[in-house]
Amino acid sequence: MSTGTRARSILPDQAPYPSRRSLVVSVWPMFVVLLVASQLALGWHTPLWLVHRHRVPYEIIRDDLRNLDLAIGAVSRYVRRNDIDDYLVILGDSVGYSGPGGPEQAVSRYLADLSRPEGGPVVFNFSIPGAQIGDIYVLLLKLHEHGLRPAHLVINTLYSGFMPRTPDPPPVFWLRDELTRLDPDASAVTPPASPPEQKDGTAADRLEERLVAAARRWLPVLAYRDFIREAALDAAGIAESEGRAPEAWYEKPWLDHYLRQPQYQRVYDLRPVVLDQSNPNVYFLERIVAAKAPHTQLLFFATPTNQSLLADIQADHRMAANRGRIDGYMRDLASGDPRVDYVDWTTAVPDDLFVDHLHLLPDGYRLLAELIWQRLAKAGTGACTEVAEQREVGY
Amino acid sequence: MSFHTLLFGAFLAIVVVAYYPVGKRRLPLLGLANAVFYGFAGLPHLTLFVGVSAVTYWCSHRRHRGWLWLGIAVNLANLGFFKYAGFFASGLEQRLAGIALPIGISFYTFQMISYLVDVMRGQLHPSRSWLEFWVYVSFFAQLIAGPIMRGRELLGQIRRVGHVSWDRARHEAGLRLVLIGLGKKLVLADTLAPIVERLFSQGPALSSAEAWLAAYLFGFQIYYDFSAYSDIALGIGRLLGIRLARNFDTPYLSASPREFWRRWHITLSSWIRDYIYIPLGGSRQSLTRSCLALMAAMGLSGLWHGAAWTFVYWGLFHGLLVCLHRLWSQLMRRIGRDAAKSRLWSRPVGVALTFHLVTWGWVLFRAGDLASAIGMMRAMALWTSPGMPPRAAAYAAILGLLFSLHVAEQWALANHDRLLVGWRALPAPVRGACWAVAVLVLLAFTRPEASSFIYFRF
Repeated sequence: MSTGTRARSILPDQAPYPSRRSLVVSVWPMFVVLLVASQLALGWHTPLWLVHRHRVPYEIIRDDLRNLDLAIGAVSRYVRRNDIDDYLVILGDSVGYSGPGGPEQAVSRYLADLSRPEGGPVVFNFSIPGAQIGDIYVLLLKLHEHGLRPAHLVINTLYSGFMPRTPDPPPVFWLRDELTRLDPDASAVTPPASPPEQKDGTAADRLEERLVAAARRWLPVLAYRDFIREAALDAAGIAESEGRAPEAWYEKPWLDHYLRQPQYQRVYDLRPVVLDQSNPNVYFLERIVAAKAPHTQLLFFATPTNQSLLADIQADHRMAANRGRIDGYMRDLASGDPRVDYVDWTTAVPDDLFVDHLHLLPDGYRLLAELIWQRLAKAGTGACTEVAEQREVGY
Repeated sequence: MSFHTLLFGAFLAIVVVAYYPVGKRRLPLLGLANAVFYGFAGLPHLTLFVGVSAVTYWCSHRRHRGWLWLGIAVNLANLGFFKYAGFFASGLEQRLAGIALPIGISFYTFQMISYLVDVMRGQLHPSRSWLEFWVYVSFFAQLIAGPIMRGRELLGQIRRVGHVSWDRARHEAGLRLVLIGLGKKLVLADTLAPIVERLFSQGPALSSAEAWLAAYLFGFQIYYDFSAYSDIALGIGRLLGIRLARNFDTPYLSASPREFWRRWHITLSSWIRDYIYIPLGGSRQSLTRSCLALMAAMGLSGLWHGAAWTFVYWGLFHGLLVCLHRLWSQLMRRIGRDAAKSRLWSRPVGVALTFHLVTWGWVLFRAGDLASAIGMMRAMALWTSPGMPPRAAAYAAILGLLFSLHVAEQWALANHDRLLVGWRALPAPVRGACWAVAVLVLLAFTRPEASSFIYFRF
């Protein structure tokens, strides 16, 4: 009688079990070995694509800020393992992150496309939408904490970032607790953020939180669960981090009215800008310059702005005066260190490449990547210079 | 304490490990475990639950039927105050806003009412002790979201828990059910949840195709979420030697609305049938009166789900579907059409039609308000707003996969024995690897802090 016939003829509880000895020898060892091996592999050799595909998915950081450390840690291990010295890190807000498009439309992807064939720097992007200048400073400290001291650092600045906060957005939006941990002095002089929403959890919730926190240390699969889930959704083609198909700003007639909402008023702020230590942007920009590694080539750029959409305020003489003062301040800041560069790209991107007043269509981010690439080359460091000399990249 | 948390995993492990060595003391152990489990939701709610169960138990031991009615009234008052006071008296809505709904109240109320009614009808002997009764009404495996167990199904098993012996096959079956349930919840339902949330938050702004997509996805989300809970409940029952009733039988493969309610939330459907529909006359009366009784029962069933008109309309919608199906069947019989002759094509057509009607109805259940629900349902029915959703091909593939899984579940249930034999015939290392992969996938998808079971809110 064939096995199949016999199998169909017997009831499930009468099905042959392996002996107790074979169960112990075979089932549990395999179970335990696979479980332990997978955890060791994931902890030591986290695949880069899992945590960073041209950027770290915003949704993952938004849901759990601990994921940011996991991503930076995995990138750090990747850099060490592959003995990479020449790498570039973009730190920024939603423009650096390259919203609203997907990771394949990010400025870091286009920059990597320019760099890779020429043997230029490896590109990483830790920008977080909504990040303020204080967050960017903390991100830099976190890079250092994980042993990442990039050859190139690219940071975008915003006009609205220099204008008074009322009190929102706070100068450190995402990483306030980390600022307190990494730089208590800076934390002490930074205006406090609005108190976080208190979680009204039950005893079970609090206990669960502690259990999960403890288990995360021992089970990397639990620690990396958000990344794994995102990768699975990405494979299915429905990941939220894929962004949405961006539409040009002129296809959205409601946009002008939308930008007049109170939360965007700082874009239109025409009061004289104050550029002393009381301005959090000034304070953190100077701390960034002081904190960067000595060999790091730092590029600040003023974020491109849609001149047509903001035509009425761009034409205002008070705006011109403020921009002139900010530009002067940034040039002064850069002049103090030969490895710090600043460029004003407010008008460098054609208006038809914008999605709104700041964010860009994929072609806009591609252009921004080429601008960055050209600027780094001009700054005269490493492969960028050699490549630029060969290719005469430029606009 | 939700089933898909590490905390519950630890709690269950402690209970199962302690359960078998204590022998005759298993009843107090279960009573204590139930109290601890429910106590995590808050001591006031535990106190209330203990109080209502004590009153119910006490009433069930009085000889006069008036006491039994009093017990039912106390249970209804408890449910009515916490769940429906704001709904029926709009002035109270603000005042009650700060009072949380005790979790599982709808389920334990129905369980205690069925117990009292069965005692009143003489179909059930009152529980022998309050401890036994407490374990019956508060069994942690099914307390929060069912299955709703009748006294005659569960009390006898509870009396015998001291004699349950360790059985490897039963325990393996229990673990399998728990893992399958966790897989349904963590991998399927929780993955669909944010997509569904994003789509339904746009409400009537969705195109017709997007509205259908939202409804399809929610249909699968709620099925995989709720049936996951039931699977885990059944699995826990097996681990403790207690057999709980099945609550789902691949309902989206039903060929009629009536069949759907025999396969969806089976224990609630049978409760509604036995304690509302049949006392209202059931089907042994004229078609008109029978349909009216059905509409009343289904409307109450909808209201049981939540204190909102959308739920009532959802219940009435299903009542209407069942009535229309009954009319159709009667018409077919009158004109002499034999259903059996056209079975080849009628079953697939019936399944497709029922699935789409049920999906259409889910909009009432899920939409934030009636206006949004009507807007979406109108767009779905009349195709008033053309336009394909972004990533339509990916979503179509996912819907295909979800439905295939549903069909596969049906096949697995039908071929359970053969599958089990095949599984046991696999080499032990392969089985060990399968267990490891299953545990890793579940750990990777676990996000208890971001989700709860949908039926917890009812």
